[in-house]
Amino acid sequence: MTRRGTLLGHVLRHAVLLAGLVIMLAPFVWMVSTSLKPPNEIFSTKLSLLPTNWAAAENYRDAFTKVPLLRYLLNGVIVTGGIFLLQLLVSLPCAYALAKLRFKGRDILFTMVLIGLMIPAQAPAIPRYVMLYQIGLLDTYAALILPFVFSAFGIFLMRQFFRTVPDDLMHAARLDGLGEFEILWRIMLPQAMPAMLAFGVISIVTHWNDFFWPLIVIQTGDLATPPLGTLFFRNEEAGSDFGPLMAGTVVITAPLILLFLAAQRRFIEGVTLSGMKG
Amino acid sequence: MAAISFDNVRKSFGAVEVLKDVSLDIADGEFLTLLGPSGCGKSTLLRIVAGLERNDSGSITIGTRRVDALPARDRDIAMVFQSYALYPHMTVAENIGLPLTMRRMNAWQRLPGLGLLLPGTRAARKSVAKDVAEAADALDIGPLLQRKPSQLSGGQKQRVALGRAMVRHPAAFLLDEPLSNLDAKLRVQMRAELTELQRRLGATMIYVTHDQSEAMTMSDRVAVMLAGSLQQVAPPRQLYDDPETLQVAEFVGSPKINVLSVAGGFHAVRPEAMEVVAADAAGAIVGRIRLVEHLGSESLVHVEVPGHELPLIARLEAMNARDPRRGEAVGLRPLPGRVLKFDSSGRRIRD
Repeated sequence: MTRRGTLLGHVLRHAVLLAGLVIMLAPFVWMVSTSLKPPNEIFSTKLSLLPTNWAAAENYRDAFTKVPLLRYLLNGVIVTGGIFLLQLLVSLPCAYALAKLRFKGRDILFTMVLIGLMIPAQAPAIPRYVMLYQIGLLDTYAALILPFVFSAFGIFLMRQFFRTVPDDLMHAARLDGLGEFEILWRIMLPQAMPAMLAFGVISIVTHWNDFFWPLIVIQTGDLATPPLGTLFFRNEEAGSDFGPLMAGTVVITAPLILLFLAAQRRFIEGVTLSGMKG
Repeated sequence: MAAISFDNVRKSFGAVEVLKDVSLDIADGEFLTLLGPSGCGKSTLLRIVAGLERNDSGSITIGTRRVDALPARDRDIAMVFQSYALYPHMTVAENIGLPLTMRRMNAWQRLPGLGLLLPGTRAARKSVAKDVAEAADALDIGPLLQRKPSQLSGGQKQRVALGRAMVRHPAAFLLDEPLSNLDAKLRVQMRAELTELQRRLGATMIYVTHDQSEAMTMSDRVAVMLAGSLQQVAPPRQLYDDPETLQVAEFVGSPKINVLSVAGGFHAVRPEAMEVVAADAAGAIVGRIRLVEHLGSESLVHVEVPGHELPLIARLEAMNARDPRRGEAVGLRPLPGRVLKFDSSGRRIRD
């Protein structure tokens, strides 16, 4: 961070970063641009970011009226919020135990968590589907939430963070009369806020954007999460209705971008594990 | 307050035997220091008393209770850590008050917000706040109560840690190298304050340190621990003048005691019991002065003696010293009756 390059180095570095930025940002710009255009301009061969005839009002109105977009957003909030809360409930005690308690089999358990980290979400999809079918939970919120309650990533991230908390703090707490759950709740948690926030952003973004799993387990339109909801734009009529579709995706993406911007500073603290100071 | 005793306490970490059969009785209200080099097991012993480690065998009694099987929080003991271990997200008042909160309020009353709806919560909070203020006043940290630990200096953190320990009037205090993170000047000041505090509270204290000047100045008795076993437990003066083993004689005292190999064992002579005489004086050990350290009130004369690995050291009162010069050939002679004799295994031979 403190190293200063030459001017040329600066220019080069920024050029590379700018190129990356353009590649990352272009689809979003295109999405917003399309959401403002009437159908004939969307398919025009002329390349232009801003429309000649503004159709923003119609597109956004359609997005909210043709499909129950607010309902999808609400579903998204329920599902991602539910997943994150339950993930915390499971991974915080697990992470604390793996980081700070001494017991037989701890290393094996941690290895299993690491292995769990490497399994792609799609791999156990079919067994999960069958299990949910057997207990009759398909096509419910539970089907969207329960499979993700155990998060190997959450356990791993929080465990790494808890390890940086000095042991003496726990020892002092035990002498002060705190039980293990109280140590977790009163001592460890308040210091782990940056890591929890980082985990929160990652978890919420992942599950908000998840298309694959909701597509498999949800049939009822009313239970659709936002990305699944975009499907219904396409099936609406014969052709795809790109203006409202893009307007819808803008509305769906916006909360995530706002969430990240709000949490940005502490998020970076959390992933770099630099949250502990003196 | 309470007496503490250890009976045949043993502890191993894996194959390493850290404590080898330690037995010790500490009187009610005594200031006992565990002195030893790092890795000698003194901190482990302290942690075993606190309940943070389990002893493999033997027993520990606090007051009249045998505590080996009790968890840390039921032992009624407070500890001050080398790192102070203050909770960084809590204010000074909350840090000091936490042990009281945990004991005077039940789990429901401790819930944030909701607890206030329950009977007795307000009264309990008030009693905690009152005791916290009292402890803070006793330690002169009253004005700091609303600060966070990160806003405190080392000395202030130290006081907060002490406050957190004394606020609940525990049966005994355990202090694990509490002064080692302070600068030299503050350390001397805190040394006096700690002793004063201990006398005032009439508290039983076990104090762990590797610093012999702390041990010598503060303690009622010092227990010297080397390689997992207690070598000698005695008042500071006796430890210095009358060591039981050669190891204790060598560990206590600075500069180090002079050790001479003789037939069947060792003779050890404190630097101040060594006289500098003419090289041809009767019974003198002859050598050459290698270094003279002038310390103001006294001088240390390092004499290189053939056949000795380390130079022998004599401490001379500056006003009596003739002016020894480097390179000069001199004789060293122990003062009569000041030679400590040890057998070849390092055990003291008394005449």
